[in-house]
Amino acid sequence: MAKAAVKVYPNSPLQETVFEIRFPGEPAIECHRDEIYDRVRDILPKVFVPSVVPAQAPALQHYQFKSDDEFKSLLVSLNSLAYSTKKYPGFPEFKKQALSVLLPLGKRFRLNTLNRVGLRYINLIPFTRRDGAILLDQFLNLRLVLSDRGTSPITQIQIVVSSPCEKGSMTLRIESVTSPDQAREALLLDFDYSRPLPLKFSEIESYLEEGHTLTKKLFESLITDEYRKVMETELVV
Amino acid sequence: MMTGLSEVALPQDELRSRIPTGYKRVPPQVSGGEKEFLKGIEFPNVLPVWEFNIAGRLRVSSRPIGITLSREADAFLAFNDALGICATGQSSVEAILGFLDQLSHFVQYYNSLRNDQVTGLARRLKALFGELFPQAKS
Repeated sequence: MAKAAVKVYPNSPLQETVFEIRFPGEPAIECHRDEIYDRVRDILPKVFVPSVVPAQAPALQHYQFKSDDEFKSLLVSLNSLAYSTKKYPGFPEFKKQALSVLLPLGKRFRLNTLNRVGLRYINLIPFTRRDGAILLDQFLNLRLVLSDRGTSPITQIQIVVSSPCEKGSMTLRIESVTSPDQAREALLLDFDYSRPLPLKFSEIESYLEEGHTLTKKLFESLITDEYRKVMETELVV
Repeated sequence: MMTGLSEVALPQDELRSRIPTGYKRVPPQVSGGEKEFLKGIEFPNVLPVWEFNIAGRLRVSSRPIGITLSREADAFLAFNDALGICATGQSSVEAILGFLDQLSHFVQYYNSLRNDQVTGLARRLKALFGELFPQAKS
């Protein structure tokens, strides 16, 4: 049977996707960064080291191995491994890329139990204001009633909610943000699905699939049909 | 009690960071860590717009139009290469409003021309504006 085509929105607001596993501290990872790098140097040749952050243990900061274009990264620390991409190729390909890097490392460092598994999708939806207000209902099926007159104009938004869902927990952050040069504004839509304990390394593929299914469902229900049409269409630029 | 101080007059960042003395925020744990990702993300520089005021009527374009926004030394720019529109302003909002004014003007202008009145670039633009705003044709 032919596989269903993977739907990737040509005008998607997705900026970065991260799949992370955290585990009890494994010193062998810190002692064998060279070996980890050897395994990925053909696809992730650039090395980025963490800067010193006061009051934070250096071993818990991620080393990053990045692709030449810096879109793909492997993050490595004493208690965490993560795979990230800024150019989402659709879920099946993302899953293939992430697991092809993480599974061999888990076996090599004998990771059995995990502390946390997380799948994060970070979106930025550019917007312009009308009469100073953010036209939230143009983008999101989210109704905020702040006055007795019904829906109020919104000029700033910053919401973080976490909620249990299925076997895990979803944290959703919605925030209006401004670019460093102050020229552009966007709605940050940051989904983070995580699984509570007990977690097994051998199950990470199913955790990843579960996180994707739930996040996609939530994203599709949160965005309006109007904005979906915009995501589906190539822009005139 | 009225204090004479207006909360909304405070800068947004200051308002956001305010919490009662002795309390602290408990940010949710996020995959990959907070700083590494949000700081490294490139801000999209193209703004998709699909609703326009053309001659006082709200029109939806057949395809979203991308407005590229940038900041120069002393002005904000809003432009679209395909449509040949570029506007400037003292703020990005002003530049976008200038862009929308020009777009409204050009939609009406090209729609007012017959095909035999345009050649070259003007012919291409007339066809493009006609495709984007077919309902605005006279």
